[in-house]
Amino acid sequence: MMQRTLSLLLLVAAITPLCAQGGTIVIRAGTVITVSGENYSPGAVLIVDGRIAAVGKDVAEPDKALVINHPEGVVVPGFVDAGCGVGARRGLAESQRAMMPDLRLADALDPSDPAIKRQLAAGTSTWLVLPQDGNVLGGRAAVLRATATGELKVLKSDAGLAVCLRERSYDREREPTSLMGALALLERASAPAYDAAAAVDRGVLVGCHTDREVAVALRLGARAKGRAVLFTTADTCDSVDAAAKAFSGTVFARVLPELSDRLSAVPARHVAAGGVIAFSSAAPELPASALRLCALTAVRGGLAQDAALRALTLSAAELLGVADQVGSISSGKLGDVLVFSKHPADARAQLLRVVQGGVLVTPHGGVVVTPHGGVVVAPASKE
Amino acid sequence: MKKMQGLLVLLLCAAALDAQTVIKAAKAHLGDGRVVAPAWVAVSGGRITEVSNEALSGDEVVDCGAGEIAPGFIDGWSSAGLARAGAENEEGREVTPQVNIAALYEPRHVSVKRRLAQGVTTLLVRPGTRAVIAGAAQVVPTSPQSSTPRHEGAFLCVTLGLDPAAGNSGGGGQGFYSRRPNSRMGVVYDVRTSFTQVQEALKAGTAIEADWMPLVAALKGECTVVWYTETEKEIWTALRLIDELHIPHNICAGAVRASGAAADLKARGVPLLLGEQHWAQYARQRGRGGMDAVHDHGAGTLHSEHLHEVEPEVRARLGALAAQGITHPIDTSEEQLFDLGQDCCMAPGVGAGETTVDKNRVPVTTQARELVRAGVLCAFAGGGDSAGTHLLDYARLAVRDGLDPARALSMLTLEPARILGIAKHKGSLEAGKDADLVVFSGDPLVPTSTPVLVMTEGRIVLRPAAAKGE
Repeated sequence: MMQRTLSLLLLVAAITPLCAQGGTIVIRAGTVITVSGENYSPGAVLIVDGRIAAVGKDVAEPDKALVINHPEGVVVPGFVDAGCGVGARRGLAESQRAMMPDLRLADALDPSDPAIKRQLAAGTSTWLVLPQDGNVLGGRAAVLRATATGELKVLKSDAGLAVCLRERSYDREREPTSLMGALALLERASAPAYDAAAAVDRGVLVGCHTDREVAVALRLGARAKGRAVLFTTADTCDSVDAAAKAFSGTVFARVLPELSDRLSAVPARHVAAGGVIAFSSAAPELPASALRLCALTAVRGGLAQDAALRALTLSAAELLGVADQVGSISSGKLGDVLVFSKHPADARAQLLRVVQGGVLVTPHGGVVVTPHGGVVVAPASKE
Repeated sequence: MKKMQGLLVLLLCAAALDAQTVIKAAKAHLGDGRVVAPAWVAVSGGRITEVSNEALSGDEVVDCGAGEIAPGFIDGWSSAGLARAGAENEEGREVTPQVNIAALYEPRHVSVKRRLAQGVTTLLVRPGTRAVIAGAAQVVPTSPQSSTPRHEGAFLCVTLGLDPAAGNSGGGGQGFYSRRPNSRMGVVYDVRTSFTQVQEALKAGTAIEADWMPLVAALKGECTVVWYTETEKEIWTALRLIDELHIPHNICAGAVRASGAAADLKARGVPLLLGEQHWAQYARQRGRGGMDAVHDHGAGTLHSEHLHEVEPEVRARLGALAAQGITHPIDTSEEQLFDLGQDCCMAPGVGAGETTVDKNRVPVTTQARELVRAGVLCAFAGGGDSAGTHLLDYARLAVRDGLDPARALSMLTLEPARILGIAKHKGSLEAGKDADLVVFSGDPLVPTSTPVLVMTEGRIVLRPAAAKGE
């Protein structure tokens, strides 16, 4: 009898999470870092129908809610990756002509890209995909996200006009063949191009990897009236102050542990100069976990932990123009939260749970988050 | 001698054209799911005059014994009758709405004869997929003697995906063969730019070049746009462009993997012509301990040379199954299917390449079932002429994976006729419709059945051996 009751209880316990798949979920943890407002310790987040309904010291627990308790854990918003190629394999390099402002990245989506699930497993809830660097004007970027089961969704299809000043845009057998030529093309053609950019509300996304490219980008940044975002690496260490002032934000890629102390300090210097920063994972070329690695390296270079977390979440969302949907734990935003064992800007912190759109990313959803941040697809028939 | 024989048959046919011919068989599959048994089909003046389960009399009665009659098959996505087959492209530009493939169609080409011998009586012949807007496609008969008038300009082909970009370098070059699209994104850009240019010219009332008139016809609903969509991602792109550009009549074609987009196709009412569904894919899926190993690129990279190696194995196995009394593929057990898969997987060449293993993904060969369940108007298409890739083989394969057999037959006959807008004359055995039919030695969906008689517009083009007096 006792045993039967117990097994019944176990059965109920097993069914409850399935009932919660609709997206009602309560997460209680040692600390909740909302990023946009107060932090709570202890704290709790309530997500209803995929959106955040309440956050505070404690929240009401609706019937049939899935409850996740992590008394030691730290809850933070899902990460926002400000630049990668996930969800658009083999569709990005339309480089025969230099000026292609009307290309749309959202036309080239590939929902079967296996890297989508890896983004989820690394805690990335939302990401920007830029057209590849083959053109001077490369078309409109898109902000993408995934459901907990790995289905690709477009959050914003016109997320800015991509401008590339890197060598790859002018080393082809066509005009332009130099950075100078690229700038001339942009200045000549930029009136309609910027009109196109004005139609999308985030302006221009400028890709540069060297200081001389940034110098050219600064001229454009001025023309775009502060509506330009700079996409760069830590190599552009001499233009920190100017870039922090001229651009609405700077996105860093490849800020990885092998960088020298001088270079890893570049993101921190940007913040000190009053700039807004975000990070880019460069997945699938690099693993999805490179996003957090950039933040960790920047912290090593002197960036405050909370500033690093802001760069991973709200700042990125603001630069991509999706801060009304994602980027912080506040009522009405999408229910993307992560549970870490420590502050995520601490290198020792482990990612314990991923909740995407109010749904726990679980083995039952087909995805298992491993301690290494990798992903395995649930086997079909093994017990 | 053979020529003489052919001539004789021709003469006989001509003489019999206005007389009433009656075909007698054990069963007739009408094409709409209904079955008449036993069956007599009366034909006169190129049309069916009566279908009955009681004896009909005629000037000539062709007794097909235990045979089963089906309407002539319709392949809605074919490159038969073209000397260069699927490689028939105009590559000088990316957008060539003015070209019409029908001018090149040779009804006496061996590829057409082979299809006719399989029971395929009508084709939508289409250009290759190298251009973004590839030109006009056209409905044509497989019989060289057909007198049916052709409605020109009824279909305009648009290619999505990577085909128009394949092999184009991203690095400039100003030569004739240096073409622009070199990405999925660039292909869609070309489609959108072409249609919006025409839309703007229409709005402004400015003159439009004659070359661009097919686009005008498409926007006005005077012609149907056939979107070449190999997988779901292209189907979704097509649906988005259809909404964005307000194109009234559309078909998605050539789909190797489509079930993920079933609900969206149903919601927009866009019909689907499936693409190649071959044995090798089936083998890939079954050969992995029951898990569905779906080739990452769909079927695009599985070449026909593999099929030649695979197919005899499968044929032999099916023959063995038939000998054990398992005549219908749907009756085969899971283990037997698995064995078949194992055999195929051992064939050299099959199994290489990037694969993803995902139990949530619907296997390619069950997609016909999934699409039908979702209520999508869909048909088999893209049949080849090597063994194992015949149009009928696709239906047999799908039936094996759980598609209702009656539905499978209508997806070769009435459904494609509806999709192509020719159901008034083609697609089912009904009084008043064209007398296009095929008689099989047994159930058409059983792999051991073979066509014994094919008739197009009242002319017998393939005869039962007995009736030839051999």
